[in-house]
Amino acid sequence: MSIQSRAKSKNISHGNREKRSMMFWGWMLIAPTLIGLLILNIIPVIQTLIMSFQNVSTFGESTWVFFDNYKRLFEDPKFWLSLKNTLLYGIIQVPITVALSTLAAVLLNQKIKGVEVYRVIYFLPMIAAPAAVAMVWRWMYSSDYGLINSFLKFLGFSGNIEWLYNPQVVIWSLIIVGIWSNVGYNMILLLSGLQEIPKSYYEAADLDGAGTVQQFFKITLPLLTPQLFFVLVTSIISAFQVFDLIFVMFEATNPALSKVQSLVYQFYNETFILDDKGYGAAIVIILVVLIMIVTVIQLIGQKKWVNYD
Amino acid sequence: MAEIKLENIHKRYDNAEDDAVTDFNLEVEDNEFIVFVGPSGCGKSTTLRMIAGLEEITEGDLYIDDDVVNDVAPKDRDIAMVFQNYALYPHMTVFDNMAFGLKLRKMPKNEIKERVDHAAEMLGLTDLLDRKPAALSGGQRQRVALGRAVVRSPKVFLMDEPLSNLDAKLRVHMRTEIAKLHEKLETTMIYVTHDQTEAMTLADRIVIMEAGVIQQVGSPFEVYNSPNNAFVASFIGSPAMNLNEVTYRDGRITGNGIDLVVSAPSKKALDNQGYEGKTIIFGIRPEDIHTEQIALDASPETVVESTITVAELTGAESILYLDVDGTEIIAVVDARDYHETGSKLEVAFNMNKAHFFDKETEHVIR
Repeated sequence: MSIQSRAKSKNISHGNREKRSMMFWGWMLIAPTLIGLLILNIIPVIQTLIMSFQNVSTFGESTWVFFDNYKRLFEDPKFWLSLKNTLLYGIIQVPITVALSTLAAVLLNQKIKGVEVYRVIYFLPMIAAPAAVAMVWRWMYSSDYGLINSFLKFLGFSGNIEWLYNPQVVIWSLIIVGIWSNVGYNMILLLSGLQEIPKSYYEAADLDGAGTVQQFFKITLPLLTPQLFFVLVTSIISAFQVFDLIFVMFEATNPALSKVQSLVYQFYNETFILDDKGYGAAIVIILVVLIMIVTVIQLIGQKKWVNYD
Repeated sequence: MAEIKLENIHKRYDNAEDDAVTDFNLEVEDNEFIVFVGPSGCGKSTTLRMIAGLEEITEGDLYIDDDVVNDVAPKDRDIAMVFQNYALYPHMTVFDNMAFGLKLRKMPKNEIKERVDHAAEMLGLTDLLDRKPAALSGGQRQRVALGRAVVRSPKVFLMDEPLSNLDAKLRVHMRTEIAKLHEKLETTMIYVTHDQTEAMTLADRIVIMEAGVIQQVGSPFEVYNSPNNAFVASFIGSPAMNLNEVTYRDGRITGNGIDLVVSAPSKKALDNQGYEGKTIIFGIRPEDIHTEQIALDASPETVVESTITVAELTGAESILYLDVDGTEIIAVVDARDYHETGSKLEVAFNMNKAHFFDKETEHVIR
């Protein structure tokens, strides 16, 4: 072997060793996340999927029942009611929340005195524990001594709305709390988007003759679409997963519960109260599929309305 | 088509101690091309933005034609502005960017199309109308920004450093484009730049500003050849005018390695205004320093010995950095005379072109 080619082959083996060591450290550094993801997310998802095709008994023995759980599900009126409640909650809560968040973000993007204080106030619901939030709202919704009915009475209404027990009203009570809890967080996300819009666009629009309202619809809104899209996707996902508010606001014996019970609530009930893990698993798999379909539709639909520079 | 008058305009920002613009007075004639020039922070952009209505006027009156427009909204001033970063709406096509202002003014669709097409043709944008700004080069964006202003046929065009984001070659090209545009449109234009070459080449009149105060208003020829003060003298022209402190006595200036006889008109002015025996600032432009034998022979009393520290060849000319007894003097000479770094050189000062400024006020002595 000539000196030259020996040097060359040495170089190659040296290069391989370096490459291998880089690979090793690369894997080592992402290992914690990867292992966490595997144990906490991926394995449970697969287990749940398997479980949804099984009948799992109290003591853990499981028998394959294939699509029986799903068949049962589609014949279960309680499931259809939960699905309807979940969809209704998502369809009404999300648009109102996004609209109010946008409005709040635009208002809190103005030069007003004490704007930081307002931003904190709007964000507070986000840092409060959902259970605590639900407890406070439960108290406010109380038909006899609740703040809301007292206030309605003060305004001259009859003020005897059964916020937590009237089957016609309960879903709206839940939606109101849902909106209140989520506006602050979404507002912060949208506010960051608003602050990225250069001032010169508004100055150019000023000279072009656009008023405040036209500027909002022609400049602000189109340039805020990447953030709006993100907020919309995450809001729908979290709305479809609503559980804690229902769990705390409506006790299990509440006769109106069936009118607010969501898919996740029913899953909880079937799995941990009635101990039918296979059936519960089938419910969440349906929910996952539902969320996936809606998200994919949104991902495709975004091409029509989201502006990326 | 409009005249603009700025009368005792002041601008002071909230929480600021000093005026950003102080007592600005200017009458801009119809169809005139005015350039505001000065170093960063001199108040030129602020003044332009006050004319546009994007910045409030703290004090003074702004007239467009015969109306005071201090409190008129930007959109009602019939003004178009080209921004430094172009401010093209990223979510709209080139066509929509240009048509936006017209749509808002409820112009009929066919007229909008006609105007946009016409402007696009004028600016070479016809093939780009369906593109979004992100898919355009810097020069193309620049032209769209101009087009957006052109389609409105406004009374006044304002341009805030429109070429500063372009590379050097494109900048020169767009400079001539803007000059042509002004010829075609016959509109009043006010243009802000920190580049004195742009100012000199484009302007009918130049407004030179420093620290919020107008230093001089005049044609490029005037501000170059008869600067009002040492700031204008040093700011306009490249390389800058040589300015050195000297003492004036008996028709001679001495000091900083210089010992020269002043011209008769200068002597008269200096004597009349009592500068005998005083320190003054002597200014001479690099091109008024000569190396040709004929110049040396013609006025031996203005010849000075020097050493060349650096010689830069720019093509047709050479820029010579000369050491005259410890003082650096810059001369621009014909490149055909070869000059070697480190060699000795005799140079003649054309004292008929010399400028003298008061040492304290820096005002010109004429």
